[in-house]
Amino acid sequence: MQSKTYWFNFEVFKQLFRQVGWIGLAYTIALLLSMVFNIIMYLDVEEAEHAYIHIGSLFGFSGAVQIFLIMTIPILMAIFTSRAIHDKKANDFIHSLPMTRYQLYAHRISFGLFSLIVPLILNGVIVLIIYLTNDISHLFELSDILYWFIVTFVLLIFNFAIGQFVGMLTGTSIVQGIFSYIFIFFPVGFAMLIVFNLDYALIGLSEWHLFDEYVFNLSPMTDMASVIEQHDSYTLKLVIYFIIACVFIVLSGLLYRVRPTESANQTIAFRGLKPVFIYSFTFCFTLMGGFYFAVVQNQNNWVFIGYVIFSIIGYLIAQVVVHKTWRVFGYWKQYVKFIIGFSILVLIIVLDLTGYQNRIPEIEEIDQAFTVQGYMNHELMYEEMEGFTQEEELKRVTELHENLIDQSDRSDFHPRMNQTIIIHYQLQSGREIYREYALSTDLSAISHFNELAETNTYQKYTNRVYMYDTEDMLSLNMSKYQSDQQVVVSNVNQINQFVERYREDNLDIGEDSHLILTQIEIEVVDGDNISLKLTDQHERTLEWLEEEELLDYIRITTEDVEQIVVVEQDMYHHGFEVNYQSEDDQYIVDETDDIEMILDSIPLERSDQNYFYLIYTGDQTPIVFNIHKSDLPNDIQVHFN
Amino acid sequence: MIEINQLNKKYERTEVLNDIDLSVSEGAIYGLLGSNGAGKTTLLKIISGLLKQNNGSVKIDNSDVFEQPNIKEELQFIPDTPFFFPHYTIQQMGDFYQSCYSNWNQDRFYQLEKIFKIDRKEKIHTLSKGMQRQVSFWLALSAMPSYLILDEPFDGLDAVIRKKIKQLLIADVAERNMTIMISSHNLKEVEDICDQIGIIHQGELIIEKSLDDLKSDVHKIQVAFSKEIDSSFLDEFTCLHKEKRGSIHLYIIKGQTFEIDQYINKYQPIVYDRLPLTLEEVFVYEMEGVGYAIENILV
Repeated sequence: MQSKTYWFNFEVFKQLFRQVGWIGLAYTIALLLSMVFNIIMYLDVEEAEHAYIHIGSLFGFSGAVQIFLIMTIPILMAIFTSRAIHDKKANDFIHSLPMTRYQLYAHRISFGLFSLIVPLILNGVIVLIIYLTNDISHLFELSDILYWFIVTFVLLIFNFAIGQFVGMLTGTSIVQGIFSYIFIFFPVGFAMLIVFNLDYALIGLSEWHLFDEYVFNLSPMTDMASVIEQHDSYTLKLVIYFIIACVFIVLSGLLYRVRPTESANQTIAFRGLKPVFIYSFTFCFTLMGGFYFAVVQNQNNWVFIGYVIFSIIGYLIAQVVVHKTWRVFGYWKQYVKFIIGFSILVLIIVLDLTGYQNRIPEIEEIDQAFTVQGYMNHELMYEEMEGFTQEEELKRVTELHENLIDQSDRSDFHPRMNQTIIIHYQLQSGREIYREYALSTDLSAISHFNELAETNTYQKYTNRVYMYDTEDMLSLNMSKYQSDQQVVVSNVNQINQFVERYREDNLDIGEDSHLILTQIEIEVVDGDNISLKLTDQHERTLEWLEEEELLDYIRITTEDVEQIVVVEQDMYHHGFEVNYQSEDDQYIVDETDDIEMILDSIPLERSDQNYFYLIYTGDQTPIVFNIHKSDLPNDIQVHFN
Repeated sequence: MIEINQLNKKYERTEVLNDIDLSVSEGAIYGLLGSNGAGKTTLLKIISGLLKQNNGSVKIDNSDVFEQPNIKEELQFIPDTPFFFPHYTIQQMGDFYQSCYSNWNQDRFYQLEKIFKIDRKEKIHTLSKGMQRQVSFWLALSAMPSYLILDEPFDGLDAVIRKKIKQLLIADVAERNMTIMISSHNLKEVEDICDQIGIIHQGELIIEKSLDDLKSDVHKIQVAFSKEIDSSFLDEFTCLHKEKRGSIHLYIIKGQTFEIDQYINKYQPIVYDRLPLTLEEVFVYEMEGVGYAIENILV
């Protein structure tokens, strides 16, 4: 028998419009009120101010609202277009119609996409008209409109596709809503939990490195910012998002065909998924427990207690959700299976069967190696510069690594509280090994590290003055310490000469160098500043500054100083007041010679300080330096004895 | 022709229908009886192509139903609580049906408006429950189905409307040879229109009979004799039930009318009555034979 009805049924579309058309309408209006009106507001801005308000992206207009809409509208759309398979009566009716599931699904999907894209087109056209009728090239370009359209569209259909997919797996709208967001966030959340937990098990794992490199890119929720800000890889990312969206839409269609009609109103539509849900939910909860107790208690046994408590809670919640009843205390079989499986997993990881913790590459394998203190230091500084490549240096790095492995303990697993040392190898095979160790002050590894830190290589890759080409340096801004009277050098030759000398000098600075009270900053192209420390051992630099007759303008000299007061640490509070209890508590230096001696003897490296120099330069507030007693001039030391 | 073979359906792990065999010939009105939770609705939903069976086959005109739009066009299913799109008027709902069912008869749609006396511009959700049910008949009949599947269709309808709808149904069966399946837990409600009855209990079809067979086959007789009769009396016939009230013997037996008359007259009874049975009585006694107490199955 030939089918007499058409494949496309306009009445179905009409019905969907009556039921969910409001979402598209709301989206249109929301975009109009937020983005378009925001653009119109900028039309009034005087031409003179144009230079200051380059926005350069349509996401610059009410961007937060736009992102909020991108995250909510498509999920709402997915929920409401899926009502037909979640509401029991509607579900029966829809499936008694002479239409295949593909047909029904195609109607829902095409309507959803249609009503997501129409608001974009409408608002895009309005923006286009505004663009063509006004001179607003200072706000954004024509291509920005296209970019905005494509990015928004791709993210919308991505979220819509996820919503649809989750809608197929579940039978209730609320669960669909909640799980859509879980699903969107799932890759990140899950990976974070895994990394956090592994961090406690595997000594040397660098969690923030893993987060930055891999984890945060895993979901549009956390990746959105980088997509919207037009980072380099956005085209590829958009294509990936688009492909994933298409895969999920097709997959949902296939699932729909096998989805039992009677699963409307049930939490999980497919019977086979129930154990999957129960186990994975319990697993996530268990990891959460480990994470929570590790952060709060910071002890190994508490991590295990966390695992046990949270696995039970998670398991019970999963059972409640699946069975839609509170009476779930009879279901224990799956929990026993879970806890056995989990214990085996923990054992495998803790026993480190893969040899992760003790892996130190052979020196011949290493292309270059870096080590640096503290995670925050790594990002800006090295990687663009060459690391350790000499055999001797590499040997020292691996020794340091060995030392750290020997001396680090699982109880140091909470590196956020401690300083850390990072070791990073780039192997000749292209592989990278990245380790992070918590650093307790009594580690002998520190001396190993300090040896490495004194090398020129280390100096070069940790100091940004070596990172930029001199062509990228715009000016030298110099002034006396804590003064705002600047000397600005913007002559390219002068900058070159200064930087060249400074770089050379800087490699030879010893621990016994003394600080010169000046402030030097190099302004570089990307709006950043590099601040430099100048010491008496920067001989060639000082020479040059003197030749250029700059030095006296930028350093604090005896002429600037009225007096220097030396006090013990606990005599000085809040940087403002000195508690003059008695003459004995302080020592006042006002002789020019003595002042000069002190100015020349402020050490570069300061540790275990217990005294202060308060240098009064005419300002109310003194310049404060802390200093160790042994570094004080002899007669002052005598005074305090 | 609806043919069901070895049909099984499980919800999760619970078996709802178990090896159902059933056939409904064209132009028949089939009454599906059973208590609540017996599996009637599930069976009807499978026949309508709404649910998919786990095992066995359901064929209408030799074609599967599930995911077969061509067959589903010929079929209308009215569930126990009818569904309409929110805020739709009867007219809008009619437009929707028209777009889905190519046999839709607009003239009939207008004619039925006069019979049901409801304004088609009314929003369906403002109507009473009974009126909504009429609307579902109105829409279903306007789609001119060859098969009409009704799940508890007369619940909440008053006697007048019930009669009116029964007339409409019978007329369609007579004129267009439409086939109807009706489920009910109430025998009295369907006995006047059904010509075939099936009883379903705990997922199993325990009895299936044509009504004529039932009625002509089973008899209730009352006899009294002047002298004692021996115990082999009526052994030639299947006796479903016997009981003694004073000198009067009451029997429910199966057999041809003239054979029974002939047999009993041989014993020269003082009293001999052969009474017609109500459908309910027929079932009560039939089911006793199968080992079920009918009160537990039917209301």
